[in-house]
Amino acid sequence: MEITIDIDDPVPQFEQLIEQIKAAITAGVLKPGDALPSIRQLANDLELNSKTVAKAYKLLERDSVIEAKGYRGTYVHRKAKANCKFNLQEWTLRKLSEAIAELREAGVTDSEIRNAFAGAISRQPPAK
Amino acid sequence: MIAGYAFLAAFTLQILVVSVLLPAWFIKYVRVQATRLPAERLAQLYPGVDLRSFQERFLTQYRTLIAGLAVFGLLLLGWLFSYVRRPDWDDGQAAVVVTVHFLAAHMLPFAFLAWTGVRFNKKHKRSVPEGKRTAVLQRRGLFDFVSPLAVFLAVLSYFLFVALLVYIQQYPFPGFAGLITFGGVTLVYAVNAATVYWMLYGRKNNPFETHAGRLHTIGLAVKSSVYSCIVIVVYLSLNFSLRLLDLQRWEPFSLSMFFVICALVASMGYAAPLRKPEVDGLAT
Repeated sequence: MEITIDIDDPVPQFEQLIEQIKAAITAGVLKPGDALPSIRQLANDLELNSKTVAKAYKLLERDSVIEAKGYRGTYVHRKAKANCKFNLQEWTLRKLSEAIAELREAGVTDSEIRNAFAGAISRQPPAK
Repeated sequence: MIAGYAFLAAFTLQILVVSVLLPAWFIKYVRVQATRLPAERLAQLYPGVDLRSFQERFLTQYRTLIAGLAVFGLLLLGWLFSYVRRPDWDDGQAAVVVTVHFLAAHMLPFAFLAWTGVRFNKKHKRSVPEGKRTAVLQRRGLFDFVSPLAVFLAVLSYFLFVALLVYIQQYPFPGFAGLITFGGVTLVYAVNAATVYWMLYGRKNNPFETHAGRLHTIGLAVKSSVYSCIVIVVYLSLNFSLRLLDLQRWEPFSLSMFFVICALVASMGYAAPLRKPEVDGLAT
C-alpha cells in the first residue's frame, strides 16, 4: 500500500497521512493486526519531520484506528474499520449543538453561552 | 613449505577474485543500473552530454586500471614464488605486507567510486522537484532481510571472541594487544550496527530508487554487514590460534583467504542477480 504526501497541498501533512491510512483500512488493504511502519521509518521515507508522523499516529491511536504495542510497534486496531467511520468532529459538533439548543430554549443569549463556554473550558484540567 | 604453496594458491585466488571477478561484476552492475536511471532527467541535468559514451569511457578506464593491477599482482606472484622457497621466508612480514597492499590498491578506485556515487545522488536529489512524496506502509525489520540465526551467530561470535581475548591475555604471545583488538572489533560491530540501522530506517539516498529496488539494496547491505562481522571475528580467532599453536607461517595464507572472503561478502551487492525491471517495476 503506497501513500503519497503532497507538500503543496493546503491540507496539513498529518491529516493527509491520517486520511490515507484510514482509506487503506476502509478499503481492506490494511487489515486488523497488520503492522505499520515505525514513526522514524515513515518519516524518513516521506522526508517529513518525525513529529508530524507521531502526531498522525497519536490521533489515529486516540480514535482506536491503530494501537501501539510498546517495543513491538504499531498495529492496525481490531475494530479499526468500524472506528474509521466514526467522525469525532461531527460527534463533537452534534453534542455542542444539542447543548446550545437546550440553553437557547432556557432563554440564555448567545453571548452568555460563549462566555460560559470559555469559562467552562478554562475550569477544566488541561487536555493530555 | 606446504604453508608457502598454500599462500601462493590463496594469493592467486585473491588476484582472480579482486582483479577479475569483482571488476566484471561491478561493470555488469554499472551497466544495469545505468539503464534504470530516468533518461529525460539525465538529459536535463547534463545537456549535450552523451552519457552512454561517457559511461563506456569510464568503464574502459576502470578496466585498464584494474588490468594494470592484475598484471602487477602476477608480477608479485612471480616474486613470491621465489621468495617462499627461501628457508627464512616466514621470518619477516613481507608476504603479509604484499597481500595487504595489493588489496589496498584495489580499494582506491572503489573509494573514489563511492565518493562519486554520493555526489551523483546528492545532485539528483536536489534536481527532483519537491511536491509529492511517496512511501509504502510496510514495516521494515532486521529479520525481514537476514535470518535470526545469522544475527545470533554474529552476536555469539563477538562474545566468544571476547572470551578468547581474555584467555589469551593470561598467556599472551609477543605482540598481542588484547585491548586494542577488543576496541577494534567493538568498533567494527558498532559501525556495522549503525550501517544496518541507517539502511533500515534512514532516508533513501537515490531519489530515483523504487520501493522494490530499495528493499533489494537494503537486503544486500544488511546481509553484508552481518556476515562481515562473523568473518572478521572468525579470521582474528584463527589468526590468534595460529600464533598460540606456533603456526605463524600459515598467517599469510589465512590473511589472503580472509581478503578473498571479505571481498566476496562486500561485493554481494554487485554479484547478486539484479531484479528484472519488468518484474519489480524498476524500469524508468
